[in-house]
Amino acid sequence: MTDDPVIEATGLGVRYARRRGWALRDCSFRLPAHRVCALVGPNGAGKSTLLALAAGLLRPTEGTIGAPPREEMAYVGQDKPLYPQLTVDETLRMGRELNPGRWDAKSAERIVGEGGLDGSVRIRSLSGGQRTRVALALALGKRPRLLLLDEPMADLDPLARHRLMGALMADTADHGTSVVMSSHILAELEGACDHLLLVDGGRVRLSGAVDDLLAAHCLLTGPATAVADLAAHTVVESRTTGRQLTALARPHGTVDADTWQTAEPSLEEILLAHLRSPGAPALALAPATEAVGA
Amino acid sequence: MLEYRIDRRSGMATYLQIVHQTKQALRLGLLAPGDQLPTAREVVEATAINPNTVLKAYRELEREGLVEGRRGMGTFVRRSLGGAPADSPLRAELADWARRASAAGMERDDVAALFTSVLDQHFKGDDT
Amino acid sequence: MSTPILTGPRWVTVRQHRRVLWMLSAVVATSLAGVVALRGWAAYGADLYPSSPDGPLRSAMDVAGIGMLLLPLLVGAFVAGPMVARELESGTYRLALTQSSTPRAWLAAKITVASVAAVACSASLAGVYRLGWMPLNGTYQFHWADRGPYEATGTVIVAYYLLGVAVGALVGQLVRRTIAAMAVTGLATGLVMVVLGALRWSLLPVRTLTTPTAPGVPKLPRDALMMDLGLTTASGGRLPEGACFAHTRSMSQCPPDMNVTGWYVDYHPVTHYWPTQSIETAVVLVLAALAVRGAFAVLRKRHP
Repeated sequence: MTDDPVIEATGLGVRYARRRGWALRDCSFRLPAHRVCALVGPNGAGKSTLLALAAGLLRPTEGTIGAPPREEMAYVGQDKPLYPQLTVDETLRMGRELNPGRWDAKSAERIVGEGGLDGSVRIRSLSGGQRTRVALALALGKRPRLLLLDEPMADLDPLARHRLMGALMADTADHGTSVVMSSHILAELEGACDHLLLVDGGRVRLSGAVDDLLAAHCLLTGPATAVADLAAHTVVESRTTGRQLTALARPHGTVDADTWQTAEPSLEEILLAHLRSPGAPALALAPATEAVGA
Repeated sequence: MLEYRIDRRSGMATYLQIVHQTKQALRLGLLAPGDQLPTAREVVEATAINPNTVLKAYRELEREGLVEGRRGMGTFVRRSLGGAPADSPLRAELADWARRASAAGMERDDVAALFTSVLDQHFKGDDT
Repeated sequence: MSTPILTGPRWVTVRQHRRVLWMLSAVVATSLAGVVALRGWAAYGADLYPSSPDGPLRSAMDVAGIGMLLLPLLVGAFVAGPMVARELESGTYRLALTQSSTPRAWLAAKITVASVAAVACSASLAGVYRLGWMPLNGTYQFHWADRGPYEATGTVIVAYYLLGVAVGALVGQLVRRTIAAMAVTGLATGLVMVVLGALRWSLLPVRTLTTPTAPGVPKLPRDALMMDLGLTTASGGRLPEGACFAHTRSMSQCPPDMNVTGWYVDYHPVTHYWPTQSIETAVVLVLAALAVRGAFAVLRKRHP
């Protein structure tokens, strides 16, 4: 199955006029369609900038980004922008008015209805979770091919988070929507995402299917004296404690099983190792598990 | 219908948890041939996991010949697993053994360790 | 309120700001009721105030004139602030600009709704003003060329409302802060009104009347707006009106060596009212069109 990319970025860079330095630089990646992609990275890494670029709300300073046209894409900003003076029903009517010919009133109403929301209530008096629900209903009612969510689960209680993620996953199961959602907490997204994009310091550090990324990395434990062995592999991070050496590496070829104990790292371990080692080379895995440019 | 419990902290891949729980249900007779598995949509709505994970688990079960997907209808159980439904004599014997172990003053961990070592001895190289 | 015209972004704009639209209608209705009541008072209240039965109407129309000049500033400030800048400031533009309808349609809807409301409101208020002004026409401070009556009884008032909308649409995008955008728009629109107010009587050439020195200052036609008064000399030059007074202590007796031949007076006749209105209206509409073009250019640059 060869998926056409739903987002394709080449040499993408953004520089804000008022701030010094680049918010994003040299970003090249492809996101295959029909996936749920986690866009992770520390605060200020450039996640929101990347999503705004994909949504067409921002023009790149350099490079290009290819994404579906406005009609086929939905975007929910970090603060869930909605018009506070409209009611829930009016907000859904707005979705219909602004997306003629595409609006899926049933889906939108179901998502709002599942939250037990009263349609005549004004947006300004909704709680954070209810707002997120309405924003999500508005986004999904558009029947987008690509859904961009900036920190969708931030400031939601665990139950609301679970329910909304469930509603979102149900929708992708029904329609094969491609989703990109950002968070600085991987645990929020783990389980829901099958693709990952790690952005750090304005650059893409990791990109690929979660399974492929897991398979590409290996936790090695062995004697500190055998450090020379590691030269054959790409070492992301290594630590020596006494006579023992622990390393997170991308093995090339076989690892000597007599010297090294190997274990499969968790996604969190891989992310943390990369964040702790800003100098580690980036890794972009194409859908067919072949390295594009390491 | 079967309900999956996904434990993010278990360290086991999510799709394997679904495979295991399905097999467990088959072994215990909670699922019988002809029964329908929950649809991917139902599973993800309840568990908030990725639909592809559910499909991957179902593909794995299908590959092992335990279930079959019928286009547009859902996934159905083809055959049951093992010979130890919830009310089988084997289970009764094991329950009796556990009672005796407890009476002999063994802790839960001791029992588990003993059980695992016996399992390893008899079911070598079979990890499911 | 659900005519076929009111769909898409226009529906959204009306829904967002319906309170203000209702308020504008209320202002028109209240001012109409007020003017009708005051005219009734002026017509039948003569017994109570024999000296000046139109006193209350006069004071009210004085305030109304100022109000008519301030409203374009307020309309502009509203478009700049709550309609445009607030969306940019609060981030709701990210909601509006990621729907299927284009950013262009988003801005066009705001400008259209505001313009329709501005034209309807200014035209009705001008009608109401005229109703109150008619009995006062030509009296002190209610001359056709006085600031207030001149704008409020003509077409320029509609043009200034539209200018407010256009400047608001442009400034709102450039300033991006609600309060600041409102202030800048009010100032910019007010500045144009002040500048054009100062220039408007230079738009058309004045008429000149000359008379001999002897009988005194020339008599202007009724209703004329005097622009300049002075003395003419034999060489065709002009002297200020008090030039002779300084020497002879008399306005109309001049020393022979000054070669004064008579009086001149520059004026605009009442027939200049509509031509001046038309030219000024055209100038204001051109400025408004430029501002709208600028507003769309800024939008296009940011959101192609």
